[in-house]
Amino acid sequence: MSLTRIGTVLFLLGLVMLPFSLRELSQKVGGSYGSLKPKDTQLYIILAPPAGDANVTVGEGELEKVEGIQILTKVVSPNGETLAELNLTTPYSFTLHLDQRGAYNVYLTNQGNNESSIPLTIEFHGGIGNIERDKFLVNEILLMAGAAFFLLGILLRKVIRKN
Amino acid sequence: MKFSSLLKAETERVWSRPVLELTSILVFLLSLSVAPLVSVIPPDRLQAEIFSKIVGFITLYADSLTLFLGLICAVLGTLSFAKDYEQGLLQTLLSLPLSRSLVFVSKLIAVTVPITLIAWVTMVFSLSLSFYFALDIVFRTAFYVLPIIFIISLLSFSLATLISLLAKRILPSILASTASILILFMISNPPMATLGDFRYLAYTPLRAPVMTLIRVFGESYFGSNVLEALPETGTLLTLSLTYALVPLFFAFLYFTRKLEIKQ
Repeated sequence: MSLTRIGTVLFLLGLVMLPFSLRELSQKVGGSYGSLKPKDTQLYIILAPPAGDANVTVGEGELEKVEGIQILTKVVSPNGETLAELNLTTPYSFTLHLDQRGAYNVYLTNQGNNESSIPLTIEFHGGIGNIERDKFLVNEILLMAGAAFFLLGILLRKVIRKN
Repeated sequence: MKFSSLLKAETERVWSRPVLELTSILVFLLSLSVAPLVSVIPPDRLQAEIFSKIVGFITLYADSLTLFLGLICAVLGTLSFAKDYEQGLLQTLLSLPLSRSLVFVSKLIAVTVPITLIAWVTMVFSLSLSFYFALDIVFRTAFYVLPIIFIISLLSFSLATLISLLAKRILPSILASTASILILFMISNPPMATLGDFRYLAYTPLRAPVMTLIRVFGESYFGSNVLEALPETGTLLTLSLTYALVPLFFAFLYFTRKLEIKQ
């Protein structure tokens, strides 16, 4: 298969992928799993793409709202970096910047005296800031590689013809 | 002339411009429907959640690919035989120092293997984009899809080949083979999807391979009530292969023993 043909296929695939990689993430998901005793720590996993700023709410879910419980919250990124460490009173929202794809660990430690379930919610509001950046990068690589192969193919063909 | 040279020439002819480009674009378009991955889960459900999302995408992809794969294989299979027959190229091919069986096999491989690989590689690429942090699960599950895509391609190719060898003309062959795939698709898509339909779907030619996939992935994704409605994996696989191999066997027999070439 010629370089120009490989280039054309890659470029076309990049073009087809463009609307999908520019798709803005507007999603709200949450969960609440069991109750948390005083001084105990519970781990939640947030599976998320690198889609920029997200709103994380501790103590408020779709169905329940827990008020007045002191929680020590620690968010660790997929590569082990601590992104946030806060002492908060539920319900509490904070912004988290997600720049990696994978499992974010959220440790919730009950600092109060009451046992309670602690719902956790993550919300992406949409907008150009909330696109999946890794997919967009691959899209750019496809487009650029396609254009480069295509031009290289044409150049080589001209050189071969001259000789 | 060697078999490998014939196969190379046949593959280049079948996948000439713009067939490869259009097929890649359409298959890629189907594979881009992976929903963005956002979940909040307890740690003990991490692997199960990733597996469930991957299986959900794979079965949806295999299901939506069925009609497209069926139609493209039917058209390419028809062109591979009826066009060559009508234009007299088959006469040249059969005058080569190669048996008829090898000519048939070269045409079979030239159509089904590239389309299977295009569809599978595209699916793995799209899945890897969304789940590159769990590539082991991606490859472990994607591995099962390869034979399923091949069986669907083989079934469509076999039907198209049999039809085009009998009709011997391009237009009637293309119309008849695409119509046969559309009819198979329609009987595989009843309006209501109930558990009773699952049992029925398992016996339809186009859905049996996808149902095999559902059976393989098991209860971790699909409910036990769905699985109970389906036959065993071995039965489903045998059924899928039978649907694909019966028309292929007759097409092979006709091509190698009965087909007369016009002078």
